[in-house]
Amino acid sequence: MMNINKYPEIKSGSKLIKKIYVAVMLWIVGRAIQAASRVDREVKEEFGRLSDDFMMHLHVLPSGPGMIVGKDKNGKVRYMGWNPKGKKITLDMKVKNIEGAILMFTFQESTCVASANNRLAVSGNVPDTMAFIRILNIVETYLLPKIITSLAVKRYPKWSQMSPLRKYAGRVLVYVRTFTF
Amino acid sequence: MQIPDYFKFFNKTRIISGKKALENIPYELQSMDSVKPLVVTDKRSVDEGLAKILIDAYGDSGLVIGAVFDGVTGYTSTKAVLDAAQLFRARGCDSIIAMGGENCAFTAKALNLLVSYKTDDLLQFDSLPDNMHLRPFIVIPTSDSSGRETSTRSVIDGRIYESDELMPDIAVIDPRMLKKRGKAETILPALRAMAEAVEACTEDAANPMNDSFAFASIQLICENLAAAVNGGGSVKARLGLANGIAISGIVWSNAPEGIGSALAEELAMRTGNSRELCAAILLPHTLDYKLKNTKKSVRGELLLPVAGIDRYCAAAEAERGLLGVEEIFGMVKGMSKHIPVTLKELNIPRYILESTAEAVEDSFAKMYGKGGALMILESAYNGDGFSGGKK
Amino acid sequence: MQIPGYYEFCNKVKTVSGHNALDKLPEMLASVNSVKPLIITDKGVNGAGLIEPVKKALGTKVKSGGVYDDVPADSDVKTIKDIAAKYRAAKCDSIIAVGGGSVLDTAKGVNILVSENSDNLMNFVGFGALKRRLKPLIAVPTTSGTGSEMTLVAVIADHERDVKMLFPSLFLLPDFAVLDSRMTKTLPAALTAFTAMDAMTHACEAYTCLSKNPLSDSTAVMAIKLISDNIMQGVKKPGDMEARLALANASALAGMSFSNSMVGMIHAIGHSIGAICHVPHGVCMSVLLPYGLEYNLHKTGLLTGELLFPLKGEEAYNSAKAEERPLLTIRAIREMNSELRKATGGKHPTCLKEIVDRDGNMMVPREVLSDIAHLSLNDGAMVYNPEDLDYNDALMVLEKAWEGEPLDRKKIRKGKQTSLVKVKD
Ligand SMILES: NC(=O)c1ccc[n+]([C@@H]2O[C@H](COP(=O)([O-])OP(=O)(O)OC[C@H]3O[C@@H](n4cnc5c(N)ncnc54)[C@H](O)[C@@H]3O)[C@@H](O)[C@H]2O)c1
Ligand SMILES: [Fe+2]
Repeated sequence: MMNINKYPEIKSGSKLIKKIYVAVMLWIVGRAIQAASRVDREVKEEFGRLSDDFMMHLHVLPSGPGMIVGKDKNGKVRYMGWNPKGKKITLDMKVKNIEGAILMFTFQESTCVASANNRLAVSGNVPDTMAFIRILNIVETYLLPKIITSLAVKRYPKWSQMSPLRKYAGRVLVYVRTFTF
Repeated sequence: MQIPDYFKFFNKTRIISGKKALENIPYELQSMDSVKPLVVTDKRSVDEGLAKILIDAYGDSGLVIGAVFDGVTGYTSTKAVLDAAQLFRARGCDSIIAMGGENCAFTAKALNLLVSYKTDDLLQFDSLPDNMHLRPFIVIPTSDSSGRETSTRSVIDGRIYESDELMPDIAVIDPRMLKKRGKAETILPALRAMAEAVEACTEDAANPMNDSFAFASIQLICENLAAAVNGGGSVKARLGLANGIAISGIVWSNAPEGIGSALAEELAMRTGNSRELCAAILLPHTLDYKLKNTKKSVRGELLLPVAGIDRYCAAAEAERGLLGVEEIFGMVKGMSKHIPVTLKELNIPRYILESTAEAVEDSFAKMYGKGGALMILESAYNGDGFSGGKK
Repeated sequence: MQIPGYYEFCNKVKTVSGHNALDKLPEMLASVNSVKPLIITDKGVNGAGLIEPVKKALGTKVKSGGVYDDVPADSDVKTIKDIAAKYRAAKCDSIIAVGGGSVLDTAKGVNILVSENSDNLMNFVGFGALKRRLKPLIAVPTTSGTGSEMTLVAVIADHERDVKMLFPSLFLLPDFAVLDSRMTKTLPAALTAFTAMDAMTHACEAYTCLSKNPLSDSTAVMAIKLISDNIMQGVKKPGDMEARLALANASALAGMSFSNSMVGMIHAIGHSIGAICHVPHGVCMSVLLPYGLEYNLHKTGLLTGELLFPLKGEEAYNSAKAEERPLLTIRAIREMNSELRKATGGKHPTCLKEIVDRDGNMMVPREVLSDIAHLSLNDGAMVYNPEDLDYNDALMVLEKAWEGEPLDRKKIRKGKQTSLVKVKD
């Protein structure tokens, strides 16, 4: 008989710093989606086509962080914090692990590449998922410098094709709305 | 393309390869309904820090690793399997992760038999039932891997256990686990893997499914071997090589044994040299022999994965098989600075060549003609140059 | 062969191929301890006499739990519930699915219900919903197209709510795939043609879309080669068993390939035409394939050019310059469609306006293109397409495909050119 104590059981460690980073990014993106839904025509339209009870939960397995964006009673798009308790989630987007989330939110992998790399597990209907991916892509063009966004999207909108709103005013507005309460 | 009137093909193993691949393990195990793996590995992998990388990858998963059992050695013994089984049960594990070379995987496969069937008697598995339901089993290849990890085989105390179900559920190939190795240590497993993939698609029984896997394996190895050996060896090249080697195990499991690998096996046993080395030395000479002395010669499509699509298409149809073999010839001979490329260099006495040939001859004489086995060995002994099938 | 930064590949289906592959059925059932399989098929397949060889192969040793042959085109939830009830009543312990994509997907759905002992498929939508091995499923494809015998997804419609649901799970991979040349011998010429083009599209998209990897590449190339070499023979000489077996293998290989690398805009738009106009899936694929390749050329020119080899052979590849190959590949596919049109007496369409139903009515009227364009943006396959499409892009592609004119590549709004081979507009 061998002495099994030679081989201890191993508890998994924590990745607190990475989780905090992702939590902050999710907060920013969540607020930015809410802001963009007020000022960007395309984002407004995308949300307009989604059902009235649309409620999206983007979160990291197994224990977060996460964020929820959905429509409130009046049909307004709102960032609704991180806690899914008591909310009826219609689109559940799970990142399989925190490292996958880091790849996405350090913009090493775009939403499309992350999907292609099977980093996400989504439950919900496909059209909602597609709409949400498009919204995320637009919001990224607001939040990030072009040089980073053009890595993350397949086709960066040509400067001349962008609405003036998205070029200047939109940016400022989204920034202001994201970071004020 | 050749499609036989009848064939079977099976690959149980899912491949997950690339950046942060390890971090998927907790999720993947959970989706197979298990939460507590036993890691089966060896001292070298632990010393190289691989166990630590794996444990770190478990960070934030909230799960527990039953233990890291590093009792696998250069010889796979029943004792190590029993020890691992004892640990598995004491910790209430429900799945197995093998990390390292083939011995780690062999031990893990045997362990899986014991714990799935709640027994301590390996010998009862002399013949394996068809529809075994084994525990979830993941393999993490390292730079020590030979390709047998992903195969249907386990060898414990010299006994062979073989079943489709012994293939791992998942092979997780993560660049962080592919540490740099010496030149010979990089070359030999790659060449043996290639020898087996090449042999699979030069046999009469080749089929389009196994061919696809073989072509992928050969191409990955041909494209990455030089880069993995020279100039420090890039991570990317090592990842390509590790993929090629892992795929070769699947190919090997789906092909009948060829004369080259039978000779290599036999020769290794009789001389104490490694199987890798014997396989690498024999590869070009086996092919050169097949070129001339088998009815169908060597099929032209071999050139495709060896030389790439441009050169393949540029070659005249009748020349392709020949060029493919010549290419492989050059590749192996080109390694002569780092590894022995003739049997002479191994100081093998002639009577061993004869007895080796004799042992293999019977099973292959029908296909390769009488005396074929010895001719291959002699050519490899002398280090004959490429004859273009003219010999 | 590029080794991608990350990829996954799984094809754990025990495959048996041959002119008499069905004979292995009893062995397969025994190996999974099954004594009473339920046979699922549709009226067309049963009418073609294809259940006979299955029954004969089962012989006297295995007693089947009955034959259910009421599967409609495009699997749906209600049928699946009915079949599950039948399975339970007859106390079956495995499923043999004999048919095309519609039957195979239906069988996958039934397997979910009977294995999870549930009556509500909705509980199992989306990734990760299934956690356990299901009952043994043996897939016997009778078309050489969808490759569903090798894929991990079931596409199931809920006709009441008018939605198509995706069930992606590794547990949906069948345990066995039986590729028997006898099972496609009865396939009419037009069906042979467009189902083979479905498989061709799987392979071409797998080779050029975002999740490609070494194994999806090599299986795709093999599939394209086998289809190119055998499609005409299969259409013109239905009884050529070698060609039938080759096409069955090709479609399984293409299934393996795209199940792991996914498909792109061609399938996204094709699914939408199917949903709105009820055009058979393979028909949409045949027409759209050249357009998808054309649209993505600035990203995938090199890859598209490489496909010239499996499509037209070594000579054709070698005698063309690298910059010429991509367009030659696309031309080869257009020519293949035209040839198929000839060989099927005009049944195989080369553009959308040529698609007609049994009574000769146009199935895709020009007015619906705009609806199709909208719908296709919401198809999951768009994620894996190398270039983005918005509504205007999709509409442009559809309009050209309707007329049967090549795309005006100057008008394509291109993201970064990433193809190493530049193709002139
Ligand atoms: N799961 C997947 O991966 C996947 C992929 C692509 C498509 N699909 C689905 O598959 C379906 C299309 O499948 P399909 O193209 O195979 O067609 P199908 O199964 O709908 O069959 C078409 C017709 O051909 C008849 N038929 C089939 N085999 C025959 C034979 N050998 N002889 C005579 N008649 C025969 C059938 O009775 C039917 O009437 C679609 O619903 C699509 O959504 C699934
Ligand atoms: Fe398809």
